[in-house]
Amino acid sequence: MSAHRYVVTLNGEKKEVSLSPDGERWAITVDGVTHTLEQTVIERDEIYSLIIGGQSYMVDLVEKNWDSGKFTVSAFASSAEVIVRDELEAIAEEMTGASSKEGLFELKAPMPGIVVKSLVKAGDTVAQGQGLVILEAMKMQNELASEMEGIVQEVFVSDGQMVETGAPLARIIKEDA
Amino acid sequence: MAGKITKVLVANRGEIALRVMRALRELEIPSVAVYSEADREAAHVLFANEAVCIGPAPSTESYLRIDKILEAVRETGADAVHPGYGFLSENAAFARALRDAGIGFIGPGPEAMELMGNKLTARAAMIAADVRVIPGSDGALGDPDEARRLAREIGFPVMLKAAAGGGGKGMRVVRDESDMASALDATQAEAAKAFADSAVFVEKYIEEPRHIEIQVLADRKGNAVYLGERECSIQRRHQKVVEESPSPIVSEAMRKEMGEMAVMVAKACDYEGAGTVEFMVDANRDFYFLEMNTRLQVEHPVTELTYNVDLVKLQISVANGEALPFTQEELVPNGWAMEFRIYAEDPATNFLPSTGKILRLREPNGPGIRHDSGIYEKYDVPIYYDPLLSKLVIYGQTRDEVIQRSRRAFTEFVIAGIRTNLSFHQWLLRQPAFEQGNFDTHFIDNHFRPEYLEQDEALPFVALAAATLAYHQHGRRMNFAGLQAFSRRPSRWKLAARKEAVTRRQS
Repeated sequence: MSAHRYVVTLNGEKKEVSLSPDGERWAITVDGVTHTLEQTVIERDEIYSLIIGGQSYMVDLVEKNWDSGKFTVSAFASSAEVIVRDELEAIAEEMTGASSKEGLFELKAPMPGIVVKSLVKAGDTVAQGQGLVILEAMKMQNELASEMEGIVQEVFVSDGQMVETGAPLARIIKEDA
Repeated sequence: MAGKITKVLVANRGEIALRVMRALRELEIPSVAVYSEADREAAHVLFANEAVCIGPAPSTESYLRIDKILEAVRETGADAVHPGYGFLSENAAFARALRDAGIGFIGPGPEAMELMGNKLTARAAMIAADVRVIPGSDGALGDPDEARRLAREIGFPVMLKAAAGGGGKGMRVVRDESDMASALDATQAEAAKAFADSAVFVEKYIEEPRHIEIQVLADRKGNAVYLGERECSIQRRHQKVVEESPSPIVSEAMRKEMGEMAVMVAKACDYEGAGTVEFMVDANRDFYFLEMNTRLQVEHPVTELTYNVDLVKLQISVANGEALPFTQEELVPNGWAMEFRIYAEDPATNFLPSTGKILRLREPNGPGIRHDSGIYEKYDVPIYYDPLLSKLVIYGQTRDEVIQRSRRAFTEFVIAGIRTNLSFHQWLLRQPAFEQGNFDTHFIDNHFRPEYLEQDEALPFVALAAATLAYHQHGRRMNFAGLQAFSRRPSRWKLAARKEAVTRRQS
C-alpha cells in the first residue's frame, strides 16, 4: 500500500509525516524515523488507545476542525495543539496563502467575558503589545493587547457588552495597507 | 427554631454546596439549592432535591441577597440554612435575619461573627482573653514619633497595617527607623483612599511566615475541642493553593499548645459549630493569633481525613443542639492528607482565568483519593464566580506516601476544554523544598516561573500521531461517503423517463 503524506505543525514546527497501513497496524514516519502503531478506537474521533512501540497511551481528541485540520489532543493530563494538512494542500497554501493575511490582526476574545472598556477607537495608531480592550471574566480584569503595530480599523464591541470565546473585538491593519 | 432540622437550604454554589448536600443526603434531610440565572445547569442544582432561582447572574443580585434567600426559605419551608464559605457565610446581618425569622443557621451566632469581623476589636478581645497576638500597637497610630517609639519597643522590621484593610491592601513593611515617617504617611493616605478610614496600626513583621490554622468545634453545652492544624503556606496573591494536615513543622507538643489556645479563642467569643483559628508562625516556631474564620473552610477535608470525622454532619448535629460525640482525649489524628485546589486558571499566563465548556473530564481514582467537585463533563463554567472548580484531596499514612500518591493521581486527571492549574500542581510535587516540607508563604513568588512547567516528553509525538490518524481516517470516510453519494445518483434512463412523464402531463 502506498503511504499517505501529511504536513503536521506542532509547537510551531512543521514536520513531514507519512502514514501507511501495515496489516492491523500503521507505520508512521516522522522526520525519517518509522514507528509501528496500533490504534483501538474507544470512541470515534474522540478517544483512542494507542500502543506505539509497545508503550500504551490513552489519547483524547478534545477539539477538532476537519476543514482546517486543527486539533487539540490531550494525553498525560496535558494537551497539545496540532495542525494536519495533506501534503498537496500544504504546498498549495504555502504558494497562495499567508501573504493575504499579513498586515492584519484581529483581536478575538480568548474567553467569554464582559467588555469593561475599549482602550482605542477607529483611526488610532497602536504599537505592538499595546492594550486594546479590557475584558472581565471571573472577577479578574484582563487587558488584551495588539500583536502588531498599525491602525485600528474597527472596534467591534461596546463597553458593558458580553462576548463569547472567539468573538472579534477589534481589527488592526498595517499603516500602508 | 424548634425541634430537629428537617430541610436545609444551602445558600451557596459550586463544590461546597455539593459537599453540604452530600452530608444532608446521608442524613436523609432534603436539600434546597438556590441558584442565579447563570447557574441553572450548575452541579449543585442538579444534585439538590429542590431548587429555587434567586436572581440574575452577578452575586450581588443573587447569592449575596439576604431578602431573596429568606424568600426562598419561606417558599420551600426549609427550617435551616447552611451558608458554605464565602458569600453570606460570615455576614452577621444574615445570621441575625434568620434568627429573627425563626430559621436555624448552621454556624455561630451573629455576635461571634461581629467580634471576629473587625481586626482591632478581635485583637482587643483576644488580648483580654490572654491569647498571644502579634506584638504591636493597641490602637490607631498618631504621629511618626509615636510610631518610631513603638517600633523600637517591638523591634524592626515592623509592618504598618490599615485597621480597615484586607486582601493584602494597606500594608507596608518598615525595616529602618529613618523610613518610618514617609511609610506612615503613605500607608495612611492609601488607607484613607481605599477604605475611607486612615487608621493605621503597627505590628511586628514576621519574616518567612508560615500560615497554620487550627480547626475547632464547639457545641451549645460548653464543650469545645480542637482537631489539629492545617498548613496553608502555599499561597499566591494571598490565596491558598495547597493545604495539608498535619503541618510538617508542628510537633505533638506544639499542636497541643496551639490547639488549647484556639479553644480559648472559641470560648472567648462564645463560639458554636465549626470554626478556624488562624496563626502566623515565625522562623523560631513562635505562633501568634491572626484571625478567626467563623465558618467551614475550603480546606476542611484534610482535617476530616486525618481525624476521620465529617465536619458538615457535626455542624448539623451541633445546630440540632446535640453535644459533641467525642472528648479532646478521644481525638487522635492518623496519617497525612493534602488538598490541591483546582482552579480554572492558566499557570502559563500568570494564572489568567479561563472559562468555557469542559469538553472532557476524567477524574483520578483508586486508593487514598477524594475529589470534591462542582463540575461535570459538558458543563459550561460561567464567568461570574470564583474560579475554584474542585479540590483533589489525597490521603496516605505518611507525607511521602501522600506525595507519591498525588503525583500518581495527577497523571490520571484530565480536564480539557478550559485551562486549569493541574500542571502547576505537578510542578509543585517535584520541588525538593516542597518534598522536604521546607517553605513559607512566599514560596510560589520566590520559586515558580511559568517556563518551569513541564510536559511529558512523549506528548508531542503521541499528539501528532493521534491527530494524523484522526484526520486521515476522517478523510477516508468522507471520500467513501462521496463515492456512495455518486453511485446513488439516479441513472440517466430514470431521469429521461421522469422528464418524459412531466412533459406528457404538461401537454
